[in-house]
Amino acid sequence: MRWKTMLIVLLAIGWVGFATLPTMAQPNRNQQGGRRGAQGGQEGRRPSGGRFDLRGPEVGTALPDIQLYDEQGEQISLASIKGSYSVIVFGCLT
Amino acid sequence: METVYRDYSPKGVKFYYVYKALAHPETNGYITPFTIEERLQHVQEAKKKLGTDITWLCDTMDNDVKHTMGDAPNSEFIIDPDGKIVAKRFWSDPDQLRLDLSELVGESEQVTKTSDLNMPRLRAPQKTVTGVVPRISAPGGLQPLIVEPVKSGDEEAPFYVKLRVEAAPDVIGEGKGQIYLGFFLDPIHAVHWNNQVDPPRYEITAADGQMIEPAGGTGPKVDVDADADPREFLLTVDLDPDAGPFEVTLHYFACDDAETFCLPVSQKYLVHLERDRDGGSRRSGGSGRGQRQPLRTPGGRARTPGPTFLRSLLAADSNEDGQITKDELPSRMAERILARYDTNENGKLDKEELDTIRSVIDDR
Repeated sequence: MRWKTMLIVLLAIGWVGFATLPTMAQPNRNQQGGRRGAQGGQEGRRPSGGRFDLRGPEVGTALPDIQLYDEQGEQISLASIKGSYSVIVFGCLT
Repeated sequence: METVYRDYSPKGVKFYYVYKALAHPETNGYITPFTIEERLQHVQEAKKKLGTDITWLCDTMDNDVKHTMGDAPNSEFIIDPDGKIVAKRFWSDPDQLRLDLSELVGESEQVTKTSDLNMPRLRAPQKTVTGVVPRISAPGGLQPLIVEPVKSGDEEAPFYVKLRVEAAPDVIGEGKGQIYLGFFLDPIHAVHWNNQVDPPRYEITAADGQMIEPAGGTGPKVDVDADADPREFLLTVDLDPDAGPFEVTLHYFACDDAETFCLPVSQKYLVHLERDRDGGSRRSGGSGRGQRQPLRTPGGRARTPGPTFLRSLLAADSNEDGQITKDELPSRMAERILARYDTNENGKLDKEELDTIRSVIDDR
């Protein structure tokens, strides 16, 4: 009877291995190698970005036409930032 | 960020900082402005203090850009020539940005290092003495309330003093409990308290049936002639959350540091029993102005650990004495953690510094 038990155990192990194989073959979104920025810029190292990804505009979309101010206090549109590659970084004094 | 700017602006890449609501009012002495003119003064201050040539833009007082672009404190976007977003990050990462730009516009001919830059260090702007008025011990977990300055006329003085009000979440929801009132001199206006006259005095007016105790109060007598410490009060309230805002009036003498004026001022603030989601969190929690605080420059290299890590850090208090010494920290990371959070540089994380970490967790 022992060989029957061993056979069942081996079959069970084999089934579990087969069932999990496709999952393991899928790359983890956060472990993808290579460039993390230009196309999938929201990937990679970040402290916390779940809400940010949901709330903010998506990669591939145009900058929204919302107003802000230049250094002289003149109103401009965020959407006017175009014509060359540009980098926008948010920050403040604190 | 500055090094990436130096290397990639010659390749035609344009760089913009967007000045947004303060993440941590009181850090380095700066407090939340009331007007767009004051926020634009912050922009000039930032430009000067950081010694940067990067173009600054300034968010509206309703924080439209921050809200629209994902509501993150230090996010970063790369825009293509058509104005489309080709990359975005919750937290600015200059190393990754450099890689991205090298793929988009080619590698730069030079690689500037931070040590190559002669960047100035931010210093507290307040010139007047601080640390003479003891800070009050406020309950933990407070959240900022919406404070609205009340204009009294076209010729009124600027709000030299900014009121910050904080309350626990259950106070915001149910109207009962303690609230914190902090009157902060705005260093942008370079003024100080004149302690040779009557101390600043507040009074509160609320709708009938609303309880606020004490509804009036006076700042402490201070031995030195002038100082710039906040005047703080803890009040007990029993409010109907639907009763509308209450009004705080502050009477004080505003005297500028250049000693060109010293005038009596009475100004009003409306306080709404509603969380100010752009109000940020005070990191110092009572440590006063001018002390060394973790500096967040736009695109700075400082990493912000995630909440899971920070919670595990709080759990490192193995002897449960309310502070974490270097020996209680993982040896591999102790130096880095202390460099970031040991703001008073006493070699350990004490209660105020741990409260700072808790506030960071709450923000996430």
